[in-house]
Amino acid sequence: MTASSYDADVVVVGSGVTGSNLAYELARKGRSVIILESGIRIPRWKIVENFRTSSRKVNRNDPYPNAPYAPNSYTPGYIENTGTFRFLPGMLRLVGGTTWHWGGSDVAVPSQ
Amino acid sequence: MIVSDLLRALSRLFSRTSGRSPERSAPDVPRASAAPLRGDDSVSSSDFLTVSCFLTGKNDLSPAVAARAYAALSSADATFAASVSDLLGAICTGRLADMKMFDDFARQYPEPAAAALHIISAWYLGYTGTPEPLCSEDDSAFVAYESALMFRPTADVTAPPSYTPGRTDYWQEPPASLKSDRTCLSA
Repeated sequence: MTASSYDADVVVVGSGVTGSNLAYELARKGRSVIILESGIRIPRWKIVENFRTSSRKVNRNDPYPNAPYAPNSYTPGYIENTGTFRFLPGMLRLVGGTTWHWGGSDVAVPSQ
Repeated sequence: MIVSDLLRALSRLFSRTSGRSPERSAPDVPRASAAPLRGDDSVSSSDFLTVSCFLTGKNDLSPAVAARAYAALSSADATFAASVSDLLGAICTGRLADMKMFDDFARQYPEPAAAALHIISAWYLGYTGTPEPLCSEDDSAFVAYESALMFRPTADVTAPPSYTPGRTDYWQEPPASLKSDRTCLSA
């Protein structure tokens, strides 16, 4: 087996909330798992620093990586939705996926 | 450039005289009628800082932030250096001796006046250009964050979003200046 050759029972594409949970559960059940992720791993403090030095703080995704090899829905020329209204959901390309939006925290919405 | 030498001297004066408004320190020369302002296009970093101090009415602007603002504004507009030179001339000759005259000045000299608004905007907002909310590319450029002038009025009670200025939930305590703030408002 060379350095560029890998083998696993399951290959999960994407390290977001679905992919990482799926990989975790499979691994717990004894399967070998590989996760493919197009984006980089970035520590939280760098995301905070990126926010502070961003010139477009109205763009909530700007602090996250915008790598040319890992385009996202805000990259010009990315897949576009067509229809009667503009629909452009934000998505992130990094280890952890779009779960990182809002710094990876999700404040509970009160039931009332 | 004699004008810039004079303004540099004014700039040094501001830095020594705290609390003194730069526009009041500008040369007290009667306003002249509309005349060509275009002069020397070479602008030094201290020229830009001097113009910025005059336009914002602040005497403690950061040279490092000024350098970023000047780089961003001049790369977006090829005539920006000439406009800064014009503004410097207008301030020095008294055509723009006080920011209270700015509306009149803008009617007579729209180009340098537009540049002046871009300069003020960069200092207050901390960026230049127009940020796009849903695109990773636009013509905006970063100038400053915590030192953006828009945060100064509330700097005694809160900090710009990112790091908390004190302990968790610091904002639950009413500002110490609340009483005097109210007195100011009702006065």
